[in-house]
Amino acid sequence: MILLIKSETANLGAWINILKKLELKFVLSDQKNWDVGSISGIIFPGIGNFNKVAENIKRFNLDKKILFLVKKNIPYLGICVGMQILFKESEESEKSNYHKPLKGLNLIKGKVLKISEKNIVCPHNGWNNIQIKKNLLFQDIKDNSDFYFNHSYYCNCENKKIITSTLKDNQNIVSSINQKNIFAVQFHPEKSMGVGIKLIENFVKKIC
Amino acid sequence: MLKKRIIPVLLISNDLLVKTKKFNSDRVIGNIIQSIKVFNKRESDELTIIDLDASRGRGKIEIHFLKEIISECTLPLSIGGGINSRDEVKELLNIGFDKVIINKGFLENPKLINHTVKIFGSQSITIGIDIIKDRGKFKIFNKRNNNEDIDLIEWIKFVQDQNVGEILLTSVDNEGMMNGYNYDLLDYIYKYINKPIIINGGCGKIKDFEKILVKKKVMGACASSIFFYTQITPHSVKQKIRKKVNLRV
Repeated sequence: MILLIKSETANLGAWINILKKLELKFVLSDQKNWDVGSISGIIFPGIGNFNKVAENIKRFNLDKKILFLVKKNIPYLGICVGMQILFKESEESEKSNYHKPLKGLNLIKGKVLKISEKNIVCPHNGWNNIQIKKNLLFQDIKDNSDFYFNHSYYCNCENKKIITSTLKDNQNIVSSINQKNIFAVQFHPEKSMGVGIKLIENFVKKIC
Repeated sequence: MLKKRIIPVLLISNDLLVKTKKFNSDRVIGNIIQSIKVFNKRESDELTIIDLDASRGRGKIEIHFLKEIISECTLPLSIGGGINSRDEVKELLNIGFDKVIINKGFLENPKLINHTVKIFGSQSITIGIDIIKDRGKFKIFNKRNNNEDIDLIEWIKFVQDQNVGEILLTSVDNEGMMNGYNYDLLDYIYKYINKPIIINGGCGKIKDFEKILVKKKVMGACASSIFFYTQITPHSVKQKIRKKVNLRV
């Protein structure tokens, strides 16, 4: 069973539709009485300000549940801010005039930075092509495929070996990572038509 | 490279798909669910839905109806029309929209820009600005409740400082007229723009898409009539202009 994280700011409906279409069993994180032992994978959908999402997962005690499951080797797929929240700090918290910048899950080393690359429009919103390294998540997906992005911040990983794809235009903008059972993508597979559905299928059917 | 976007616009009134001229004289053109299914297949890059009744202050589309009409859609989705609170934004994103377009809601309550950006991130918050030409001057079409005029350029500068995501610019004079986008308007504001901009209103031929999308800061072209009143589809537009404009094909 897939655990779908409800962070209060995500486009959850899009995920529910896709998981139903793929005939997958899932449970929403705010549903009562789900059994931790029955979870075979976690999906953390995107959309949201880093600080607000960090606040919400703490408020609902989800941070501890996610850390527990990830440490038990349950596959995790983070999307957009669901990728960024894997890091400890984000410039988005610092730049949003919050009194207290909150921390993320600190599972991946590095920091989330504001896009200030000269050749990248910010917010980076729309379809862009990526350079893909061989990875289970991208099985049967062609190199240079277009995915749908919508973000103003990006993950600057300390360990470059975990990077599985970047923008073709600018290799500083990391579009996906994989560290052990943790998978994360900056783009929105749920909105990327065929290639996006393929990626979600790879995660739920081959990795989970 | 980031692709320029072809964005069909769907106007809804009384749960029906309509087409307007200068946002007036609604004409019912079909079934909304059917249209979304069609556009989902024809290589649109994004869909924009406008709740026309709500933007005219006459009640909003029921959330369960919206949820139903987008349930088959795997494309990026924006919605606009009468949105004026954080709770509404939350609800719309939650059912599956990726971006919300706020127009009068921001004019009435400029603080809402920062409040929504702080929760949802600027990438999900698009500002809609409708513009008319009045006695030779470009003006904001919507007025605040106190009828106070706001200078267009000042407003554009202000909303960009507030870190809004994208700007959706509609020339009301061109809307539904199929006489081409308002290039004078774009020239007038162009140098003040430092966020991605989407242009709406007036598209009537394939050449119009090309003419507007070759401009560097214009990241998307919205169109409606052309897709309903002619045989042209987002797919055929792309085939024709792909050599001149960087598109997802």
